[in-house]
Amino acid sequence: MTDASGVVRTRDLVRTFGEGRRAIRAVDGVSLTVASGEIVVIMGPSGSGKTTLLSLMGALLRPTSGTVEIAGQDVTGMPEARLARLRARNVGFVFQGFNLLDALTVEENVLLPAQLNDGGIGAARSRAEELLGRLELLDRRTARPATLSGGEKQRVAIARALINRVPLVLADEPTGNLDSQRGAEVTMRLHDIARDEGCAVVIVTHDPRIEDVADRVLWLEDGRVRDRRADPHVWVRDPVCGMQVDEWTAGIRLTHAGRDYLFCSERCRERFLREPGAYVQDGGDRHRNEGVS
Amino acid sequence: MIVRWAVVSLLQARLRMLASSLAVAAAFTLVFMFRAVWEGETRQLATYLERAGADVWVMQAGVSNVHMASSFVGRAKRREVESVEGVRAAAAVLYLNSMVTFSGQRWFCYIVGIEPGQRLGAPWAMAEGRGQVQPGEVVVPGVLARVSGVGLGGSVKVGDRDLLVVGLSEETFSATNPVVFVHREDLADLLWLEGYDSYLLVQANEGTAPGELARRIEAEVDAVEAMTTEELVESDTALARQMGTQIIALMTGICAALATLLVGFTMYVHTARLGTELAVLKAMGFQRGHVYLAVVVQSSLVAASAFGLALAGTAILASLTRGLATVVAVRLTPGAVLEVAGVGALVAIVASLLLARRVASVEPATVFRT
Ligand SMILES: Nc1ncnc2c1ncn2[C@@H]1O[C@H](COP(=O)(O)OP(=O)(O)OP(=O)(O)O)[C@@H](O)[C@H]1O
Ligand SMILES: [Mg+2]
Repeated sequence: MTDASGVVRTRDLVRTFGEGRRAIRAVDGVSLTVASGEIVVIMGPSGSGKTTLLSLMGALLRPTSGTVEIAGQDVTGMPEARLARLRARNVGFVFQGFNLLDALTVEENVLLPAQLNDGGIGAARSRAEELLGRLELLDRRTARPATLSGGEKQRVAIARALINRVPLVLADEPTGNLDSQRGAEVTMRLHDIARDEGCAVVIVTHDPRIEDVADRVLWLEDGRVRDRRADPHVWVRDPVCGMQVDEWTAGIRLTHAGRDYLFCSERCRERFLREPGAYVQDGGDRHRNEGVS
Repeated sequence: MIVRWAVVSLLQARLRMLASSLAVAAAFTLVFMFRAVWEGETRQLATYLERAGADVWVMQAGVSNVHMASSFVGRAKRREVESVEGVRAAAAVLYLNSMVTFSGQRWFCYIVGIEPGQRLGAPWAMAEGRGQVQPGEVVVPGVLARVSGVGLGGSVKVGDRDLLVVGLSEETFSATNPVVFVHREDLADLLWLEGYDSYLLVQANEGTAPGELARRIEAEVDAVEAMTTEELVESDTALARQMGTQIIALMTGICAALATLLVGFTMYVHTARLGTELAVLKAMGFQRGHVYLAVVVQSSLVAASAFGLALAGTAILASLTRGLATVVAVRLTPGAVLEVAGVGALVAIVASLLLARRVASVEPATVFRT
C-alpha cells in the first residue's frame, strides 16, 4: 500500500438498489483515492449516498459496477470469506451508534478484533493498553458498555477500530450521537492517533467542525462527487447548545410551531423535544450568519 | 473471546434462558421418567425370578420365558429332575399370567400356585400375615393391599372364586406385574388341569455350577428346557425391552422434537435480539463459521442446562416416588442418562442448524444503518 496507489481506491464505482424504474443509484460513478495518513471528510445532503459509499470502501457491500481496491487488493470479486479476512486486517469501523458488544467489557471489546489477527489476543494486550491509555479509558477497562457515557463509548469504538493497526479507518457520523463538545473531542482523538500512525481515515459527517481536521473534504450529491458549492456556508445556530450548524448539510432537523430548527446532534434534538419552551425565543433563535467559518 | 461473548450475552438474557431451559428440562424429565419407570418395571419382572430361590428353572420344551408365557410339564418330571446328579432340591409351581380383581380394580398379575410348606417359589419376605397358603387363601403384595384397600381378612377374586387374603408380601409389587400366591389346587381347578406343573425350581448342590446343571437336566430329562436363573432373567428382560423399545423410542422422539423446537425458538428470539451485534462481528471480519460457532455454543448451553435441570428434577421425582407408596418402581440407569445426554446434544445441533440460514443471512453492511 504505497501512497501512489492509495490505501483505498475506487474507480467508476456504482451501486444501485432495486431494479427497473424504481432503481436508485445510491453511488453513481465515484472514483477516488485515499492515501495513507490522509484524513478525508465526506459531506453531503441526506440520502446522497455517503453511507453506501463508505460501505463499498469497507468491503461490506459489493458494487454494481466499478472496482474497489483496499491495501492494493482488488476486492470486487473476492469471495465472502476472503473479504472478511481482508476487513479484519485492513479496515476499522466507527459507527454513529457505537455498536459495542454489550456482553463484553471495555477491554474485551477493544481486544475482540485481535482474535482475527496474527498473534491473536495475547499479542495485542500491550497495544490495547496503549490505546486505552491514549483514549483515557484505562480506569474504565473492566466496565460494561452500558455504563459508559456516549463519548466514552465512541472512544472505545475508536480503540477497537485501531487495535489491529489497520491502514484504513471508516467512520459514519461518529459524532452524530454526541453533543458538540464530546463530538469535537472524540474527533480530535481519532485525528491525533491516525496522524501518528499514518492510517487513512474517511469520515462521513454533517458536522462542519470536523472539516477543521480534514486534509480534504468531498462533497457528495446524488451519488456523485461534486465540487464544493461555491457559495459559502449558511450557518444556523443550534437552539440548544448554540453551536453553528451548516443549513445545507445538517441532517438533524425538526419543525416546531411552524418553524424549522437544525441541531448539531441527536442529543440536542432530544433535549429540545423534552422541553421546547426552554430553547424557543422570539425571533432571535435562528439568525443567519453568512460567511462565518 | 467470541465464545465468551456468546456465553455472557446468553447469561444476560437470564430470564428467557431460564424459562426455555425449564421448558426443555420438562421435556427431558419426561423422557427420563418414562425411561426410569420402564427400567424399574422391567427390573421388577426379574425380582420374582431372582428371589424365588432357584438356581435352575425347568420348563416345557420350546418355552424360554416366564413373562407373558405359559409352560406345562408333567408332574412326573419333578422326580426325574430330582434324580439328576447335582440337584439338591426341586419344587414345582403352577403359573398363570392373568387378571386378579381387588375390590373392583383389575390387576394383571403373575398368579403362582404353591403348596404349603414349599420354600422355593414361595413368598420370601412378608409385611404382615403368613406366606403359607391353604386352599381358598391368597397372599398379595402389601403395596397392592394398600392401594386397593383390601387388607388381611379381605378377599380378592382370582378367576371365578373369591380367596381370603392371609398374607401381605414384600418386594412382589410392580404396576404391570404384581405377584400373588395361591394354593396350587385352586389354580389347577381354575385351569381345569390335573397332573401338570408349570415350572420346576431347582437348587444345585454346592460345587455344582447352575449352567452345568441346566445342561445336564436338558440331556437327561425329555421334553424340557432348563435355564439358569440368570439366563431366564435375561430372557424375560429382553422380551420386555423388545416390547417397550418402540414406545420408548416414540416417546423420546416426540420429546426430543419438542425440545429442539423450544431451543430453536429461544435461539431464534435470541439471535434476533443480537442481530446488530452479529452484523458488527461480521463487519469486523469474523467469518460465518465464527458467528455460527457462537450460536452453537449458546444452543448447547441451553440444552446442557436443561439436561442438568432434568437430571435434578428426575432425581427428586424418583426419591419422591420411592418415599411414597412405591406404586411404580423407578430406576434411573446410567444408560438412560447417557441416552438423554445424547438426545440433548442432538437437540442443540439440530436447533443450531435451524438457525444456520438466519446467521448466514445477517448482512454486515447493516451495521451502518443502526
Ligand atoms: N439497502 C438499501 N436498499 C435500498 N435502498 C437503499 C439501501 N441503502 C441505501 N439505500 C438508498 O440509497 C440512497 C443513499 O443512501 P445512503 O444511506 O447511502 O445516504 P446517506 O448519504 O448516508 O444519507 P444520510 O445522511 O441520511 O445517512 C438513499 O436513497 C437510500 O434510500
Ligand atoms: Mg448515512
